Order: sequence, then C-alpha cells, then structure tokens
Amino acid sequence: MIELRNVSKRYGRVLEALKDISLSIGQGEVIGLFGENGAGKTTLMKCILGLLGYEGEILIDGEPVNRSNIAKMSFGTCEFSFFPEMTAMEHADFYEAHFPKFRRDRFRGLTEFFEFPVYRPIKNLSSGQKSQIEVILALCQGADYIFLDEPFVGYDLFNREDFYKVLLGILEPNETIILSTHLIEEVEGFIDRALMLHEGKLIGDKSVSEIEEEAGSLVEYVKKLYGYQADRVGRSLEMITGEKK
Amino acid sequence: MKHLTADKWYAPRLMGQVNAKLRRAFLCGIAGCLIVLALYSLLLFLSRLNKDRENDHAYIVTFPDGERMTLYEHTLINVWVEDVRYTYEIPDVPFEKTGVRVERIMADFGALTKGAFLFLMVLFFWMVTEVLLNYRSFQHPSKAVYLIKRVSDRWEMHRRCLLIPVTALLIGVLFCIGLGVLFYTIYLKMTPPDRIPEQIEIAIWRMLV
Repeated sequence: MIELRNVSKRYGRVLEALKDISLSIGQGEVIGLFGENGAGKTTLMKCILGLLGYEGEILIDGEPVNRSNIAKMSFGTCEFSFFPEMTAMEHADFYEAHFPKFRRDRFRGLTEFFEFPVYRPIKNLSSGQKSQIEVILALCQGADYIFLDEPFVGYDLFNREDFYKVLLGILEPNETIILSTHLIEEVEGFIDRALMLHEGKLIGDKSVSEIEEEAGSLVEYVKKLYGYQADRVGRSLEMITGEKK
Repeated sequence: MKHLTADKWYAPRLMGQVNAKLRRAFLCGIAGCLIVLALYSLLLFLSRLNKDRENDHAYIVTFPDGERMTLYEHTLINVWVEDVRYTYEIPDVPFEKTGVRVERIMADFGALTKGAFLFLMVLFFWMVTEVLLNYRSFQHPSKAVYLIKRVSDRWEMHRRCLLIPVTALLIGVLFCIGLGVLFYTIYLKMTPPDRIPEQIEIAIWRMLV
C-alpha cells in the first residue's frame, strides 16, 4: 500500500502545486488520476516516486520511499524517461540488470503484439512509438505500483483501444496502475477508482460504482465536480464577436 | 548483454551499440591527448635545455653593495659607483673596472618548463565540458534522469557522468608529475654544477600556461 499523509509541494515561494494531500493506494487497483492542466497530477506522481522534494509523508508498504524499495514503483511519462541512443532490446537488458523482477516474457509479448522495432535506436522512432516503449517498459519492470503520466500521447485510436484491452488482460492481482490522462471517456470502462485534483487539492476520491450512482458517468461527475458551465463557450463567443449566439 | 558492460560507464549520449565507434573514438582521443602532452612537453623542454646550454643566456649580476639579480638575454643596466653612473650591456662587464660581477648560469628550471604542460589545460577544459554534457544528457532530449534516479545504486548517474573524465584528468596529472620529475632529473644531470642557479624556481603554474 502507498500512503500519503499531508503531502504538500511548493515551487518557489508562490506556487503551491500540492496542498495537504492525504490518500492511500492499495494493491490491485486501477486508478484514474484526473484534473485540469496544472492541477498537480504530474507533481503528485513525481513526489510519490521520490523525484521531487515535498512536505509531509509518503510511505510504501509502511516504509519511506528509498533506494531499496523504489523498484516497487515504475514510471512511464509523456516526457519520456528512456535513453534515446539505445534500442528497446538494450533497454530490456538495462532493466534486467537494475530491476531484478523485470518481466522479459511480458516485454517480448508486448513488443511483438505492437510490432515494435526493438533493434532500432529509440531516437529514430515516431513519437507514438516512443510513447509505446515508455509504457511497455513501465509495465515490464516488475513493479507493484505502475505510474503512467499521460501515456497515450501520439497513440492512434486503434492502438489505444488495443492497449486498454491488453492492459486489462496482462495485469496481475497485485499490480496497481495509477493512470493520469485527459481521455476520461476512454478509460472510464476499465478504472476502479477516480482521484480528482484541482489547483493542487484532492477534491474527489471515489470508486467508479459510487460515481455511477451519483452522476451516471465519470464525465458527468467530473463536469459537476469542476463546475463546468455548458454555456460558457456561447458567452465567450458573444463577448469576442459581439454577436448574440 | 556484451555492450551493456561497456555502457555502464557512459552517460545517455554515449550509450547504446549505435555509439560504440563514438566511445572508441572518445577514448582514443583521450589517449592521443595524453601522448601529445608527453611528446610536446618533452620536446619543448629538451629543445630549451639544449638552447640554453649552447647560449648560456642567463646571468647573475652581483653589485658592489652585495645585491644580486638574475638577468636573461642581453640587458642594459645602470650602476652607481662612487656617485658615478655607469651603463653596461650585459654580459660584457669587467669586474675590475666597476666592482660589478657577472656570472653566466643556466636558466632556472621554471623558465625551461614554462608552458610545457599546456596540453593538460586543454585536457582539463575538454573533460569539464564532457562532464557538463554528460549531466545534461540526462535531462535532454529525454528525461532519463527519471529512470536513473529509480535504480538502487544512488551513485549510478554520477559514476556515468564523472568516472571517465575524472580518470582521464588524474592520468594526465600523474603524467605531468612523472614528466616533471624526469625533466628535473635531466636538468640537474645536464647542467654543470657551477652553472646551476642558487635558487631553482619550480613554479608549477608556469608549466601549465
């Protein structure tokens, strides 16, 4: 289990990226992390992974995150964390050398499924392929908690749909996914729980079944939570063009 | 996994089989720089030593009041003796006439080795640049720093960025120390005892620039 207790993160003196967040993440969950741009989703993930300093406490299986237990978490990010000069196969060798639980079988299966060119340097691949290998490596590290930050950048629709199906098929009961994405409608079908961030605060933490009871769908729930005004586009156009819509 | 063994010493910009030739060229460049360092400094020192032995262009001038100064090349000096000013062009000043004594000596060690280890400065600035580029390659074009900070060895990134440049610099410094000892030994062996300056200046900083 990952526990966050009163976690805050400030950039400089003015910008509070995270404000007093407390939550827990159990094993085997598929969690969607949602929020507007700048809400703090990426910052939250990086704080949990120990990539950023923070105030408060973050525990993984009862212990602070350190070099001996950090391998329990993996990270796939839209910023890309691979070595561009290396091929996918060389990355597999690197992961195997540094992460004892690396899943070579899963790596082989996923790269074959996506017909991924494993012997070409990653720097020479398309942005969609770069996103693919980033996610594949995160899934194959052998971690218990898999953080994916906007992992579908550059994926076409068919690859995304295939990926969701493959993801649900390969996940083991002890593996937890924390997925940050703006594609709410697409992921609604396979996440168990939704965390909502707004301006650094955790404003919602509900299971999908609770959300469906309350609002009918995740999209409607998010709209309600963020106070989305359906007529704001019309009002803005009126203001810009001077014409009544 | 053969290439991975070589990879573990390098930063992201030099990792991967695709950069195997570049890594070899880098190491050969360092070795070449060290060889040039040794040859350049040796040739420079020996040529200066030989020229100095032939020309004896350093002089110690002793004035009537006992003051001494070391002069190089031909120099005009003014001497006041019994309220009379004499102007002399070194080296030809007869002692009997003025009480000014001129002795020919070997140039001091610092003059002979000035700039001999210039290539160490070249190596230094090159390796500092390499270190900066190595650290930068963990941030750009991808954020490989997010991966390297998650491995169990907390020194992994620093080892990859610093090991080779610092080792190259240490080897360069050891080269220079060895060459310096060699040059000093040659200097003492090749200089007649009566031509060795009383105080031999060994200014390490002069050897670098």
